Amino acid sequence: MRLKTPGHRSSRERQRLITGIFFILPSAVLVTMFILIPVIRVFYYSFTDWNGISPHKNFVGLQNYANLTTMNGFGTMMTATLLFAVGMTILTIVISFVVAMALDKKGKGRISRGFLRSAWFFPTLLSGTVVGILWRTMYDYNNGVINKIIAQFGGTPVNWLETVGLTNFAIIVGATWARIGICVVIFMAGLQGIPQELYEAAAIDGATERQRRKFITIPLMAPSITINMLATSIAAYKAYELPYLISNGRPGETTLMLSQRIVFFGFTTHEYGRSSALAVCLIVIITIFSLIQLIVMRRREDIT
Amino acid sequence: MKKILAMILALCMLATLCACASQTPSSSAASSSSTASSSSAASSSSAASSSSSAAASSEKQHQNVVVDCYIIATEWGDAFSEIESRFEKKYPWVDIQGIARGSDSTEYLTAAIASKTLPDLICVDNDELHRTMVDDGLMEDFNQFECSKQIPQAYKDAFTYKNILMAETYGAAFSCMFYNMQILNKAGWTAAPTNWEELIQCCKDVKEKTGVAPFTVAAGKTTTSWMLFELLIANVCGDELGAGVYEEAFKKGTFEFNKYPGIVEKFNELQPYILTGSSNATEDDVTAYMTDGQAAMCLAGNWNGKQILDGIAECTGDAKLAAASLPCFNDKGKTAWISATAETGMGVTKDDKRTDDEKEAIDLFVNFFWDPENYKVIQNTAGNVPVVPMPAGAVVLADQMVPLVPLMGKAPFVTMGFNLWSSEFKDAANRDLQDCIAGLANIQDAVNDMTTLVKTSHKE
Repeated sequence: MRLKTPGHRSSRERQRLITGIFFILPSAVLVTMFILIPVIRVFYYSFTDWNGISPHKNFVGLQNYANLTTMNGFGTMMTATLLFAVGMTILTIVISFVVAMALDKKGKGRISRGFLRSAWFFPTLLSGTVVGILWRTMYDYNNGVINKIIAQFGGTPVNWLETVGLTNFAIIVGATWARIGICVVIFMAGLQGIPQELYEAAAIDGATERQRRKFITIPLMAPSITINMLATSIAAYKAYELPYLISNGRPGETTLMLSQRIVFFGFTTHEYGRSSALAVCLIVIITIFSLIQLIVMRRREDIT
Repeated sequence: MKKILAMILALCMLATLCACASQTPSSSAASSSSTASSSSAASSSSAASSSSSAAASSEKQHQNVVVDCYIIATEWGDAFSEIESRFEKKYPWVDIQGIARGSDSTEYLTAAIASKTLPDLICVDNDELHRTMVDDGLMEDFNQFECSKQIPQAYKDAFTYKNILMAETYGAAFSCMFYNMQILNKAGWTAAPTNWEELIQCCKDVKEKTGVAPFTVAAGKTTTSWMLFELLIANVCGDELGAGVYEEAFKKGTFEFNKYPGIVEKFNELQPYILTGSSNATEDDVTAYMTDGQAAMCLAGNWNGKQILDGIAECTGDAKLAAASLPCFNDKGKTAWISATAETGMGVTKDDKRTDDEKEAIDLFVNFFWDPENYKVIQNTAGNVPVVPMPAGAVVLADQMVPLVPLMGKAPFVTMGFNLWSSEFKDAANRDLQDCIAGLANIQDAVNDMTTLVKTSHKE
């Protein structure tokens, strides 16, 4: 038997490696072309004064980044973005977890459970534009279905889109509705991965339903919670169509998101440099908050 | 086996990427012809091929050419197809291809500029994108075409930037008021108000006697939210300044909105009577409000006239109870100023590689389009105000709008805001205005902000 020297691959291993490379080559090329290269270019544009059309780009150093801090309404915009991201993430995780628990019940009612699973997942299939227009129409003060229902029950119609604070909540509800489906699917996969023996053992030991949920289900769902929190918060930071279509930054600029400013500077005022600097800012924010979440949630997973 | 499969997948992917990336002028014309939404594409290509013998016998021999035409408007898409088919019958060597119809102008044009695939004819608005295209030498001067001579100077000025006429407008647009006379009758008004004092009194009577919201406007759209404000500006300071002065000062960034307290006073008089929710309302919402009898009057553009008047007729059950007038924001005894504009136009992009036949084809089509006999097809469908002299009886408009056209021609006007704004001004000023219309912000503060903003953000 030949001894294997460190670092030396056998021809079989080399063949396997080459085969593997060929298999990942298509997606690697696509990721490089459509994600990596554009991101690198955004970093590059953030140091120029490019208008998106002209062939000329002048290097301006950190000017675009310096201008961000003096930009009108920058603080309000960051507050709106963070509020939306945090609100949407918390609401989505809580509601989708409860729904997943309810839909995971075994035994009777399989057909209705199947229907309910499809119903909860349906909004995920709709495009952001459709969801935005749908909720804007529902929130309409005069003809919106929500106010019509409130009026039917004798209540006073609510001015969803012209009340400071309430409009933020209105957008969060719309975004949560569109996001819940995918989170429910992930939670249900997590719930189905929990061994039944644990519940049976706990039941034998006299644990109540509530105690089983608290000490078995929730801790073992930590990985799924981590995934959902991460994915939802990233989606929330990047959300554009819903806030734009529902309120377009109003009332005042209290619902104006960072993503809307990126599009505004890039495609309306043709300040690609400024827009790219904002995009880099968004990337940094998402990275920081995602890392914090990951570290905190991983610690919880390790503890459990 | 696995290796072979992996290699085949990789090769397939590379092949598809190469196919997508391949873009030559001839291939882009061929691909645009295969994806064109124009229904005349099939008939035009067959017409072009079947009439090759006709082309051969014509005085001058022409190469068959394709003229790509990016027209956004879907509502008069069939009318455009009719003009295409007429033109191709007359000039069978030219194939007019309508492309990317209905797509967003900014997105489409930005992508086309980046990929160097600008079509020959494009929709043009007087906005920053198109002004940037002029700056970058991407637009032809429309003055070179014969048809530009028949367009009134005011409409040409609306599309002139740095002495280049970047487009010719399809029609004219102006502000109007529409009334549900059934509600006004209940409030004791047998005719529409004719001046500002009557308008406010009418609003007061409608609110007190019927409980219906007196006034609405599609403030969710920047054109109409600003329309309310520019009518106040025009009627407060128009007589003092004269025609064109406000627009020039605006473009130069020197107009002082806060110098005219009458604007704030009038706005504060009207605001309590505006239907709640109007600050977010789209034009469709306003049509729905008028159709459902939720508002007595609305301020809107003539382009919505037909829908709104039909809606009021449906609401009241009698078309005679749907009325229209020019806006009555003037003080009693003074002339009413309105706001008007040239609509979206058609422009020609610059391309140094165009052949003589292609240049001739574009020249022929552009002049053919604005010939009154052909232009009438668009006007009758779009219902806009014509910009070329039309034969008697050729203009089709809603009955209530017909008497307004000659009045509109005589009324002093200010140019609609979207011709004057910079993007930054448009975004901030309209958001402030919408908040003021909703009663969330103080109009005096908004006016002060606008005065500062027009100085700092405005570019001509």
